[in-house]
Amino acid sequence: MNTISTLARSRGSATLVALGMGIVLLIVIAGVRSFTSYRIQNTIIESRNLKALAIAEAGLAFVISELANNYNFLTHKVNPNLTWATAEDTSQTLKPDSTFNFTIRPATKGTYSGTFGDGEFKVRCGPIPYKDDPRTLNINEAKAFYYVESMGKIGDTVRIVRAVVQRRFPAREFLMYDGGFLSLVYGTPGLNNVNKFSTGHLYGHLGIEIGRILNTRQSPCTPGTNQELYDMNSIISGDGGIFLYNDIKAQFRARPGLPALDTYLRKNADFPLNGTYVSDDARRNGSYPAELLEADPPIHDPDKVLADRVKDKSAHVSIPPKPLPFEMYKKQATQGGIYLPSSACNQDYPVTQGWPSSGGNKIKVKVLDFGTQLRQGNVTIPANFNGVIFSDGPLVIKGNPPREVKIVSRKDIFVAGDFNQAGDPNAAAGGGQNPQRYGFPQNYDDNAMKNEDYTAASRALLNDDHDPTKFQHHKSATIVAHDRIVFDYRSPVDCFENELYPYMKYKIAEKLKDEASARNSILKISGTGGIQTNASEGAVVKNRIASFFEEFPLLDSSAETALADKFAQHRDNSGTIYNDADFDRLCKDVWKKYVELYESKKMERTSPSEGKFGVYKLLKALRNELRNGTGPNAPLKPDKSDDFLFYPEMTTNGMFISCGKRNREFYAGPDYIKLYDEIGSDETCVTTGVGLKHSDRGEMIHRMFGSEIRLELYSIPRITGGSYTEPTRRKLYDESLPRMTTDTGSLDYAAFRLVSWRDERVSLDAFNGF
Amino acid sequence: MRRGVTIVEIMMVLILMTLVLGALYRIFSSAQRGAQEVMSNQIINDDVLRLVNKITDDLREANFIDEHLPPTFNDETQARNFAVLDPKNQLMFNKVKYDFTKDPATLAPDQVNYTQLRVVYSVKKMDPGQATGPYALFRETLPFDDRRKAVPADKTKVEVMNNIDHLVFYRLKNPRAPRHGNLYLHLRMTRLDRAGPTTEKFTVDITTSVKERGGEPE
Repeated sequence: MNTISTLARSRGSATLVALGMGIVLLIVIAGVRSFTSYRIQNTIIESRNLKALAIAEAGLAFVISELANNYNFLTHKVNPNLTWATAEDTSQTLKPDSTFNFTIRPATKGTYSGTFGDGEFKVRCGPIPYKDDPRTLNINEAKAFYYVESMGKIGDTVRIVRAVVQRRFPAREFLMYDGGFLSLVYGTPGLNNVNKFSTGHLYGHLGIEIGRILNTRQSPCTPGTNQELYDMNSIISGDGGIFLYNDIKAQFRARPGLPALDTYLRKNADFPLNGTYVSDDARRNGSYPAELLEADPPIHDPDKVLADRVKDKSAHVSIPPKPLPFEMYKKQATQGGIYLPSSACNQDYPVTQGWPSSGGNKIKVKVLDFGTQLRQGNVTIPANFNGVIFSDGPLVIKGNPPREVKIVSRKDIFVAGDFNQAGDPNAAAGGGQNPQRYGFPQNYDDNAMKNEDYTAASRALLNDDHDPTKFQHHKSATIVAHDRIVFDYRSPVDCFENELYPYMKYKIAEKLKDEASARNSILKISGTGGIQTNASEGAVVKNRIASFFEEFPLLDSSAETALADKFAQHRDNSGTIYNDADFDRLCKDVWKKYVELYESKKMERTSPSEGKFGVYKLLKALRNELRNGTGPNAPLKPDKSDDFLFYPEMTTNGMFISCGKRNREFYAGPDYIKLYDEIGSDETCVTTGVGLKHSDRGEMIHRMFGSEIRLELYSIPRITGGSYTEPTRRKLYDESLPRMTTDTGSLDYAAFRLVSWRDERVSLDAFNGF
Repeated sequence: MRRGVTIVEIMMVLILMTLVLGALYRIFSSAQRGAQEVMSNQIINDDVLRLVNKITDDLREANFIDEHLPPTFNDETQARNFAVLDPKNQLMFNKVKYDFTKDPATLAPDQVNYTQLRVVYSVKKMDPGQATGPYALFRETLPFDDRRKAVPADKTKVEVMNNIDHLVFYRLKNPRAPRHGNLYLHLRMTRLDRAGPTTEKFTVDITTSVKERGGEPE
């Protein structure tokens, strides 16, 4: 029985074994499944994390785009410790795009949010309430930093990006900015003059070249004009190298953590005379050889003092050029500004060949003359003017704008004389004459050719202009051309008015009395401004004024006689004393006639290079007055701040922004053949009847005070002919630019770059409550 | 009636049991090896991904990567010949942290409103006596104060990972891409498993690129 029952029990063991095996298999299957499920889950979470981060990054990019369209864009106020304060009024400019499921929730206040792909984003941003650092003169830190928090959500997964974005205003920060290759090679072979670039930043997106004239059409020539750098903050190439063709004198200013430095940037490159170009045309017209575009020559810096001051692409301070909102400018001009359609540009403007697409030597422009202390302008500012002037055609600008302006053209803008530099008509006279009665006191410590900038006293007048309680010698002026900003050096009555007028008064006073009296009374600031003639009667005065016109003719005898009669009548009616007011009024009548007759008389000459018109002769006499000796090579006398004698220079103050690509004869390297966007005072102008040459090469000074921005964005018509006589250049950054008015109408050109970043995962509740 | 179990029957049962158990053993053994292989691969895959994530997270916070570390190559072929022990096989970048709570007017002449942390990833042999790897990856940090001076006392050096078969950092020159931007990280990790009857080798080979942001403080 026992055996039978044992056997009976044994029969069931197969079932048990099978069950055991089944359980083991189930455990194995469950383990594998659970493992696989864990992996899948992990992969899903990882994928969601990445996607959420991408959405958060996209949110940050959208806000930066909003900022680029409206630099006042914000959603919240920010506390200094980077926490959020109150929600602010906001508006959006980006448009939805169904292709990417991109939507923005319309909101008038607070958090900026929307969808992108299969995710959602929420962003807060606002300016960081940091104060302006008084040690950095070209950046206003109070407007420089933005804090952004951007959340991205996919399903239940949320990532947050916390970033500080630095907002840069190239036109307010850089002395010169070039969206392509910045070339600091100006001048003429054989000349020993020096172009001086002072203060602030230089930026070339694809590279920077600096050097004296060594080549002509990429063949060696007699070395010529040199370049020097003063009071520099830093020299930056965003995506390229910095090429120095000879040792360049360079002074750097003290900055936080960096002392001032007076040094030489040592030569680090030879220009490849047989470089690699896309085509011969490209070689002639401003392209840079592949050798320069690819290379990044090291800056000679054995003492390690230049690394923070001279930055090539390795520093990664890249600020690429961006298009400007021309349509927005136009809208502003039509709503509270001045809008000029193409039909308003109907004045003939003489230019050299190549400028008019239809041939000839005239184009149709609108002349905006804002007037000066010595002449009335032609621009009427409307009530409640928002500061924006927009033209569909070319503009010519000169004179002193009465308030901050943004002047925009869809074509070219010619800056055809002194622009935006005035004297204070109510400046303290100090016992003599108002030292600023004719214009800004352009005084130098030594002389205009030696010094890179005015005396400290004169500089202070300009640098104080951001202070609204003081007289503004220049205004915040932004000049934006879709094509070219052209500096026009042709007209001495427009370029040298404030220098020629007091000298003309002095020469007239000399005729009425004698040289010593004229100098003491008229030229010296301590003088009375009037003159007592020793002429016995009006007829004698008339003869003396006639002799003045013999020396400095108007080439219009009736006008000369009429003006001489006015002086004579004053002698007959009021006696020998021409007091300050009367004498100035009579002299202004004379100057007005020079200005009126300039266009019709400018081409009359006694020889190919000798203008008959009195203005040319006044200019020559003034230059000789300022020299020890005669002729363009005679050295200048030391300048004196106690008189009204100023070296003739064209002063143009503002932020000059052009968008066109180079399209003139322009050889890369230390080359003489580089046609910049300039016109005038040259043999080619003479042959085309556009204007006489009034200055030898290097003799005239062009002072650009502010910033010169070339965005290099658009292809523009080629200028085939026309040239200019090279001036000696002073390009100086204007330290008041970062602090000058940035009203809502100005839409400054801004660029953004990330300066700090953190990202992490946060809860769904945090997203919902953001 | 009482029936016995013949020796033949017992033999048959034993043979059948042996076959069944042998089959089961092979099935379990194979499953175990498969699972072990998956696990091993997964572990080094996790390790590699974790390392790549750590480096990319680190880099995302970087303001700028040193231009010369790691070096730039014209193409992948050149990069392939780049030796792990090349002194330039390093990744050096700086993180900048701004402090906006201070009034800039109160800062000393040499004081700035940010501090920096320099981070260097470098690869070293685990056994200096060996000609080649395995290698270990180290992360060194050196802080700079708000006077832009290094603070060597706070320097750190941490071994991030060891037993690495191959790890190189490099950039590729790409004329169509921005001059700076993408940085490549090529990591191969191999683990030998000698626990079993045969030596097994598990490898993960990954190349990833990281976009650089920002720039030096200005």
